[in-house]
Order: sequence, then structure tokens, then C-alpha cells
Amino acid sequence: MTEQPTRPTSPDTAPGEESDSFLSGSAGYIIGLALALTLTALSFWASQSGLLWRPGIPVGLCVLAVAQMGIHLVFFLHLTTGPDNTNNLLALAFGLIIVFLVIAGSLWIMANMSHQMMPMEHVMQMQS
Amino acid sequence: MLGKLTWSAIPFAEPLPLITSMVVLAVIGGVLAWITAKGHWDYLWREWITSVDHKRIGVLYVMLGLIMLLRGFSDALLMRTHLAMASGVNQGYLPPEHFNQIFSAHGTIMIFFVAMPLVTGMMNFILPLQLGVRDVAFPTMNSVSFWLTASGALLINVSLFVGEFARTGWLGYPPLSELQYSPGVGVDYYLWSVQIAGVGTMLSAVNLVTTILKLRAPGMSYTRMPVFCWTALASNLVMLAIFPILTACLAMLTLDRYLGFHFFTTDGGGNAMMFVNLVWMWGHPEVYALVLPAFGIYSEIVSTFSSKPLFGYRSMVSASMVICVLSCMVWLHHFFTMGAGADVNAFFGIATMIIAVPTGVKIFNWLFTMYGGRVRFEVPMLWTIGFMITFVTGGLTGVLLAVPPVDFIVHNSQFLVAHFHHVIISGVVFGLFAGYSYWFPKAFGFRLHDGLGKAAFWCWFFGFYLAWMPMYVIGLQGATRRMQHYDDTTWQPYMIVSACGAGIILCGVLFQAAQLVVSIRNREQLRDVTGDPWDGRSLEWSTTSPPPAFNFAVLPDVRGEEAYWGMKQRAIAQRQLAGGPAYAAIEMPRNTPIGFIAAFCASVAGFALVWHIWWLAALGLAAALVAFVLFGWRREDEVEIPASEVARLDQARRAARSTALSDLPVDRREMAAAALASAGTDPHRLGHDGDREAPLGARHDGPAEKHIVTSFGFWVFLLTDIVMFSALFATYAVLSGATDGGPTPQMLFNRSTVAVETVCLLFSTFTCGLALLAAKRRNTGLTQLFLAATGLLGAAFLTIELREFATLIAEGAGPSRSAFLSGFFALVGCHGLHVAAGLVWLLTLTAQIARRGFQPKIQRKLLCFGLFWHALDIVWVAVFTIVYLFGTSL
Repeated sequence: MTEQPTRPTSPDTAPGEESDSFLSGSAGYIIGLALALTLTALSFWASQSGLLWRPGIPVGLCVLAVAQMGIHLVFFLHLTTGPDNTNNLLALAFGLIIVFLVIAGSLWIMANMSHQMMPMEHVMQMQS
Repeated sequence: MLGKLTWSAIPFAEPLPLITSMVVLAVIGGVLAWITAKGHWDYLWREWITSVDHKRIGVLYVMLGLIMLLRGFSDALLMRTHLAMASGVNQGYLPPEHFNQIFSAHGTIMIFFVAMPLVTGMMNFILPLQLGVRDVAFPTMNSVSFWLTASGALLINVSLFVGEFARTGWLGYPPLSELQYSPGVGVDYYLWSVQIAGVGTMLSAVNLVTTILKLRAPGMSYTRMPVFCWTALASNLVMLAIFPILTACLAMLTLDRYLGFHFFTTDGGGNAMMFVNLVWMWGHPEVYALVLPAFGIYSEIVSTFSSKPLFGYRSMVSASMVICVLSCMVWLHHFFTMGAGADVNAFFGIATMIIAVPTGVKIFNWLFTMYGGRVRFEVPMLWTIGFMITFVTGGLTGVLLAVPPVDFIVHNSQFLVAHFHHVIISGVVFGLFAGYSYWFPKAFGFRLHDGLGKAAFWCWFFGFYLAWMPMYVIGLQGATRRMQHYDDTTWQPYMIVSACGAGIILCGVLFQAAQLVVSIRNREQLRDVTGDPWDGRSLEWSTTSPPPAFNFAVLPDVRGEEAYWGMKQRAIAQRQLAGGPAYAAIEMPRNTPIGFIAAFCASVAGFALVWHIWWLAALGLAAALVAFVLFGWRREDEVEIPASEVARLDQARRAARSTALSDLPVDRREMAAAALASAGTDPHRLGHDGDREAPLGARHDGPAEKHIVTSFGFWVFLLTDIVMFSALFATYAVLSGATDGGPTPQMLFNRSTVAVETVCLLFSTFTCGLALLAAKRRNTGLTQLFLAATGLLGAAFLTIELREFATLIAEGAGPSRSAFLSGFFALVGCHGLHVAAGLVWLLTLTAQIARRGFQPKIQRKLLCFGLFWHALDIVWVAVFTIVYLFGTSL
């Protein structure tokens, strides 16, 4: 393709490119790093702390991980909900649907199959 | 020195493959000798092999697909004739181990190397023309994609002469495809050829999605794109979603076979069902990825040859996008009988039936388009009507198979084989032949011979019914698929009829070959002078046949739906073309041999890996790396076509058009004027001039800027990478409990090491961001400093990870210990490999900035590198949570 002339009013932003907002420049990166480090520290703490309700920990860890991924997307990848980011966001949403289908679908199907399956000891007994 | 390769790999004792090999080698040798004698090498190299023109690459894809169709079809003839004999006491002429290779090769070739290249080729050729732009988003990557696909095709054909092919069916289910049960090289040939071609397909999907979303002519908003562009978008989105899953799935099988991992083995806690699950997550959407572009082709043809706009454009678009998402939610119907419970089976059965709804919408739209139209029964239209009649019944057998209790009775039978041949031949193959005859004049400047084309259609149509209807019958009687011999002699008449059907299809293929030869010989009589032989409605018909390298002298100005139809009616009514544009010089991408070199290296490395010739594999991969790094240093990326040349070509086009215009009968002119008057300013009908004065932002303003195109393409590529990781995550999650009596996560993982690794990566992503910021402000010193910091932190991360791996392996907890450890090493190792690749990339980028400064090209690469590095961090967040924190706390 050819080099297109620059249009100042382009309604489109490249993914990862900063747009003008109060978080532009190094401030955004510093806040992002601080938040990411905090969330990581929280995850590590939560996973071994005896203070928390044990059965809730896996869910808590997932929430913290998703939150941290969101922080990365916003502060490092500069994803916004602005109209210039529609394509980028839609592509991401499509990817997330697929990721969800792959992981949730696999876990559901495989768990169901192993539930239906006769335990291996029974098979052995039937053969002997 | 040569690994497992010895003279015994050549099938001297088996006459059939040996004679075939000799004949094929003789033909190839003859063609090469002819090219040399005629002195065509220079032309081929300049105009085709190194070309990055989307039209040339599209033609190459189609040629590859057609050649491989001959190979796949001869396999089909072998099987059909064999089965017509192999009844009762007669054993037929193909021994079982050879028969197994044939059906495996037939399936693999027909899907990966016939349907895929043909579909991709058509999209490559047509999309930029219909969108009104000059090329795809990444022309060089396009060439790489094609040549990688060709490399995969080469490898699968080499298996015919050297060694053997897989005997495991076209999807290579474990445990049969594991080393224990298939010790030969057949499965390895399958794995590497599909893997190499799969990478090509994935890159091409990234390319085409970016092209459709970011490169469109001014005024071509989403809802003005021809339906073929929409179905191509849907199809390529599906490919983006599923090919990474296949890559991960086959890579895991490869690890099992080469390095003793335990993903799908019968021992060590492996779970073969996970392969079946993942491979169908690719396999089912794949058929939709193939059929959706065919639906687009039918839509274009029905509308053109009925001389009417497509009925229900918006419902067609919605139906395509609904199919795109739904097709990814039905994969379990391929293994209803393999152990899932009633709830799971019911969910996937119902989801499967729902897909019939959008497909039905499409069928009705095509019918209503024909209704009341002036239908011209040209060859493309015959294929389309043949499709509609045949596909409806084929689809119905699919709905039948979607009912789990029915599937329990007919699964794995000839009924199933008949079903998928029914839908794929009528849906995909007919569509591709329709597109082939429809767009052939656009590609080469002359039409295909009409009579021979019709003869070919009727042979294919009746041959198909004769070949496959009997299979439904004996399938219901209990004939299984993939059987080499049957004892029930009452099936033989059906098998004979089926073989006759295959023979009639053979006549169709011969007619098609004859059609090509006759058309080339009579090309002067069949010449398409105006560039619009079918009275077309979309933009590809507004340029010459064949189009010039730059497609359009000036980008078309789209003012409504059916962009070209509106322009044409206006020109007819006004008896003249729109005013002559001002021509400017056009920059086009420069040719490069990088695609050919990459594919050469991939073929060498693939062959070496099949035969365990490790030094050669390493050499091939290293050569590819060097080639790409050198390519990155290229100074000139574009060639300029001078304005005078553009003007000369376009004036010739305008002259031809003007002549055609003045030859039109008066009633056409009156009709056009009446149509324009009744359309008024309704932008959905013929478009109007007021469209250009639409407020800013309300009108699509043409192709996006180059850095947006580049980084959006990379963004899409990263999404495929994330999908690949999700397949690895899913496998890890399923296998994490399968420790096979070995060490558990709690015993192995050290939380403080992981914390240090995480901090390294988080800081590296921070410095990477600062480097990009400095680059934007064009501060070389700071950019280099921050990039160096990023590299050092990344290297520190990698060192810690490698030490962790080394310790685990030393403790006897290597990847071959248990399925859990296989999953762990594959997932974490894959992330580590990405970091390592990032470091190599970083090194070359730093060198380029030092030597060349901040050229736009380097800025674009930096933007992509930043995306890559930040994405690795996001994946790592999931890794430390799911693997390490879950592992040590639960």
C-alpha cells in the first residue's frame, strides 16, 4: 500500500498509541506500574495468607489477575473507550470471546467426560 | 549425519507410489527444462516468484489449489475404484497400510492444500479490488504467507517418494498418532506440513482482516462493502480464532512424539480426549471459514446475473457475522459418542441446529434476489443454482446428525462421509468453481470457453449425486468409514455406482482442463475489452481486465451501496464517463524474494525435522532468521510508477469504456435515467452526489494512515497469540492434576523466585513504555537507555526461568515425568520463548535506531515491539496466577 497523506482529523488511533489525555506521558506509566505492583503483591499475599477464607481464594486470585490485566491494557497499551479506539476494542472483545470459549468449553467438556468415565480401577477389575 | 533417512525410505518395492513418483518427477523435470529452454526464468522470478502484488499472489494460490486438487482427486479415484472391487473374497488392489495413507492424505490435502489455497487466493485477488484500494495491508507478508503454504504442500508431496504418509486419518487422533503406535515418519510429515501451512494461513488472515477493517476507498463505509467482503471478514476472523488452537494442539502432539512429553499419551497421565477437544475447536469452525467466502461468491453472482441488487443485504451481513461466532460454539458435535453426558451433548446439539437458521436466511435471500430478476444462465450462475439445490439437502443431513441420538447410530459411517462431502462439494467446491469462472476474465483479460464450462458443470453435478447418494444408503445399512474391505457383498452395487459417479466427475475435471487450454488458445476471440464482461455491480469491474499493478489510477469515490453500479448508471444516463481525473505518481511496494527464501528454509527445516537431521533443521531456521533480519535493513521499500504511465494506462481504459458506452442501445440509457430519477438522494440506491458533502466523521475517509494499519495488524496478530496461549492454559488446567504419582505443584514451585521474575517483567514493561515515549519525542539517547534496561530486565527474567527449569529437570521433574509437568513446561516455556524472541527483536531494533535514527518505518516497528512486550506481561499475569499461585496455595 502507499503512504497516505496525514489527516489531522483521523477518527482512528493505532493500538498502543497514546492519545491526549491526563494520563499521557510518563505519569501514566508510573501510575500503571504502581498499580500493577500493588495488585501483584496483593495476589502473592492473598495466596498464602492464613487470614482469608480458603475457598474464596481462587476466585479472589482470578479477580486480582483480571484487574491487573485491565490495568496493563489501560495504562501500558493505552486502550480507551473513545470512538477512535472502536476497532481495537472490538478486536480485543472478539479475542476474549474466543479465549473464554476455549478455556471454559474445554474445562466443561473435559470435566464432564471424566465424570462420566468409569474409574480406571473398575475397568481393571472387569478385565481380570 | 542424515538422521533416520536411509535408502529404505524410497518405496522401491511398491510399484504404485514408485511409478507415480517417477511420473511426477518426470513432469516436473520436463516443465523446468521447458522453462529453461524458453528462457522464462527471469520473467518468472521478476513477475511471479518475488511479486508482492495481491493479484499475482492470488493467482498463485489458485494455481496451487488446482494442482493439489488433481492430487487429492486421484487419491479419491484410487479409493473409489478399490472399494468397487474389495468385496467378499476380492481384496481389491490397495493393501490396508497403503489405503490408510491414501484416505489420510486425501483429507489433509483437500482441506489444507486445496480448499484453503483456493479460498485464500480468491479473497486475495478480489478483496482489494472490491474495496477500491491498491493492495492488501501487508503485501510482503502476503507473499510470505503464500510461499509457506506452498512449502507445506511440497512437504506433503515429498512424503509420497521419501518415506510414507500418516495412516491416522486427516486429523491424526492420538493415541494412534503417538510414537508408540505410529513409529514411522508419516505422522511427522503430517505435523510439519500442516504446521508450516497453518502459519501461512494465520498470517494471511491477519493481513486480510486488517485490509478490510483499515483499507477501504473513500466513502466505502462498512455497510457499503460488497457481501463478499463481509463474508471474507467473517471467514478470516474465524481463521484468526481457530488456527492458533490448531498450532498449539499439533505442537503438543509434536512434543509428545519428539521429546517424550505426555499430553495425549496413554501413560504418564496424558489425556487423548484433550487433543480431540482442541482439534475440533479448530476443525468445525474451519469448515465455516471455507464456506463463508463461498457464500459471498454466490451472493455476488446471484445479484450480477439476476441484474438486481442483492435481496436483504443487511440480513446477509448479520447472518454471516452470526455464523462467524456461532461456528465457534458447536465443536463437540464431532464427538458426541466419546463420553460426554446428556447435558453437554444437548447443548452442542442445539447450538448446531441453530446455525441452520442464518444459513436458511441466506438461501431465502438468494432465492428472492432471483425472483423477478432477469436471470442469465451463464456458467457461474449454473454453479450457483446447482449449489442451492444440493446444499439444502446436504445441510438437512447435517441437522439430522446434530441430533445426538441419531448421531449415536450413524457416527463413523459412510452416512457421515456422504454428509460432509455433500456440503463441502456443493458448498465450497461449487462456490470456488463459480468464482473461478466469474473472475477469470478479470484476472487474465479473457473469458473461459462457455460450452466446455457448462459440460464441466453438468458432469460435476450429476457425478456428485451418483457418487454420494449410494453412500447414504449403505451408511444407514452399517457401512463404516475408512474401511478397506467389506464382507457384505450386497453393498458392492452401491460401491460400483459410486465409482461410476467418480468417473463422471473425472470427465468434469477433464472438461475443465480442456476449457483452460481451449480458452488460452482462443483468447483473442474471448477477449474482455471493457473490463466489465458480466455487467457487474462492484468495484473490481470498474478497472481493466487484467487490472494494472496499481488497480485504480485514482481511488474510487464511493457514494452509495453497489459503488460501481451507481457510477455506471450515471455514466450511461449522461452518455459519458465522469470527468477525467488529475493523475499523480503512485508508490507501490517493491518486489522481494523474502517469501520464497522463507519458504525454502521452512521446507528444508521441515524435511530435516521429519527425518531427525538436527543440524540441517538448525541451519534452515538460522538461515530464515538471517534472511528476515537482512530484509528488515532494506532501504527502499517502494517503487514509484510515474504519473505519465498512470495516465497512459487509465486513458486507454477510458477510451475502451467510452466506446462501449456509445454502443449501448437507447433503451439502456432511458432505463438508467429512470432508475437515477427514482432513486433520488436515497444513499442505499445508486448513491448520490450529496454524499460527498456529508459532515466530517459521517463519511468514511479512505485508507487509514500507515502506522495505524501496521500496529492494528500487529494487534490482531497478538490476539491470535493470546488464543494460542489460551489453548495451552486450557490443557494445563485439564492436566494439572495428572501427576502420575510424581511431584505435585506444591512440592516444586518456589514462590519467591516467581516474585522476583514478576518484578523483573513488570519493570521491563515500564521501561519499554518509557522507551516508546522517548522515541516519540525523538530522543535517541533516552530511547537507547530505556530499551537497554528493558533488554537487561528481560534477560534477567529469562535467566531465572532457565535456572528454574534446569533445577526441575535435575530433580527428575522434567517434562516427560508426568502430564502435569508436560503442561507446565509447554506453557511457561512458550512464554519464555516469546521473551527470548522479543530480546532478539529488541537487539535488531536497537541496532537499527543507532544506524538509521527514527525513520517512520522504525517508529512503526517500535510501536509493534511495545505492543508485543506489554502483551507478554499480560500473559505472565495469567501464568503466575494460574500456574504458580494456584499451584502452591490450593
